[in-house]
Amino acid sequence: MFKKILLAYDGSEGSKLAFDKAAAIAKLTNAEFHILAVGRIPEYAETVSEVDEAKEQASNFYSKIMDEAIRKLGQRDLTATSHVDFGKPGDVILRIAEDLKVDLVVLGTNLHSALRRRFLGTTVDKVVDHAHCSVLVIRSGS
Amino acid sequence: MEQLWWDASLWIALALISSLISLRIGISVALVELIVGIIAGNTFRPQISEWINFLASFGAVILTFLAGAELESRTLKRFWKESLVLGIIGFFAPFALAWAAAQFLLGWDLRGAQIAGIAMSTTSVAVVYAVMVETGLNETPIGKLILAACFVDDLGTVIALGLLFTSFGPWFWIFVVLTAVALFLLPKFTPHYLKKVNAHSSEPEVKYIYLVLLVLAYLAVRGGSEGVLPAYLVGMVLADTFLGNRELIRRMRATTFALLTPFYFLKAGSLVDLKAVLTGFGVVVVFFLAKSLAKFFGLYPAGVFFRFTTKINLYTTLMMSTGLTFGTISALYGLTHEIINREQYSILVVVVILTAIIPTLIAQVFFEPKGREREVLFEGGERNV
Repeated sequence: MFKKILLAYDGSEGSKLAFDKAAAIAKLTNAEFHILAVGRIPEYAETVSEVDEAKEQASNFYSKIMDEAIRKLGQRDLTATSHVDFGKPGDVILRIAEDLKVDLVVLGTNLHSALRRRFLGTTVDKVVDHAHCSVLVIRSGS
Repeated sequence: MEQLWWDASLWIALALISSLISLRIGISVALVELIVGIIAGNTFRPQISEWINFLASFGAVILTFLAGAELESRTLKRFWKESLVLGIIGFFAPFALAWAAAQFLLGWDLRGAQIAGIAMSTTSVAVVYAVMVETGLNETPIGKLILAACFVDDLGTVIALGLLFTSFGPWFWIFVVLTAVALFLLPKFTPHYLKKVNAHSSEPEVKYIYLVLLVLAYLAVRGGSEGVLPAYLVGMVLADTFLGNRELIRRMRATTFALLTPFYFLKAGSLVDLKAVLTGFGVVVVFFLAKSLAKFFGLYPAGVFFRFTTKINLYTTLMMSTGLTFGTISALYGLTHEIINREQYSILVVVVILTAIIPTLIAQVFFEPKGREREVLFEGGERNV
């Protein structure tokens, strides 16, 4: 079964559903559990400090969300390592999954407009298409 | 008088719209402001009055200072040989090729062709840094080396812009001497001053930096040079002081991004004539190719000489082919000093925007180093760091 699981988590409704499923699998398989939040930084920036400031804001925002997630896992007798990284969510999830050599990535879906999906794609599409390992996608409402 | 308030409202509305779009799509507000400026300039044409010109020029000076203050002197010292060679080639190769293409292929006059060369010579430390953070390369040796090389490249651009169109009269030499004195004294005096005023709510630190930059900009312009030259140099010599005072940078950025740079980028965009770009599309392609090919054929062999791995070498070459802020500053300098006309300016700015986007995308999609590739800088691995 799975030995190392990476959960992509941003505190949204979709990711909360994925959190529950990933925690259940981790408990069942006794797998090492990692949680990743990805902060956006501006592309084609004007100054380095602009990027650093966006990183700092994202770190502050997601560290609270990650602390809460770790606390909830503790209530289920689970532990996890949290990671906050920066960039386009799909790319970062793929990179961290490879760096950590996980064998399962879990992520939830969030509702996007058809237009946005058509032109920008979704994080889920990118991870499913390019991940080196298995990917579990939890549908909203499932 | 009411016209002034109307104009101000209109420009700030455009700046706000740009911020909201930037927030929504995750692209830097500078690029959005340029594009919003282009749309505004080609539709309802907002008035560019004297005070807008001043805010835009001041914005360019402060932006250049902030760029200079981002120098990581430790990295430059660590990879001085590689970053100096890559930075100097990264500046000279596109400068020479774009200049030659403009003068001999497109028939631009000498000074106009030089502006084209300068505008194409740049790279963008900030654009590259954002990509590095996204890919996790900013903390790796290759990331730091590329950023240091970009810094040297931009320094070449700023020096060329500051010196190439100067008459070297008495006021120029006064400017040179006083700037040299300031560059010597500022790193010694500034830390004591910052400690003394101790982040007082009346912002004496920000006013001090503004005063230094405005006085040196005055001397530069009086001497026939350009205000961004001393701003970049002052930023460089104060970089280590600012590294330990990120809060001051944050406060300066807040003022600059709220009130100064929007006027700069919106104005730079609003002066772009889209009709000229469409009719001169072939010229856009020529400059884009001149910049990209010169960077490639200049930097790639240098990377081979330093024994970079092939993928790292291609990635470095593409990253250093980007450009944004200094490209637009150079083109706008040419337009405001009547060295180039509006059509030529429009073409240069569009090429600059394209060079911010296209090389970055290609590098990220095809040549981004992954896993251990990020740690192995040199072929054979004997100089891995």
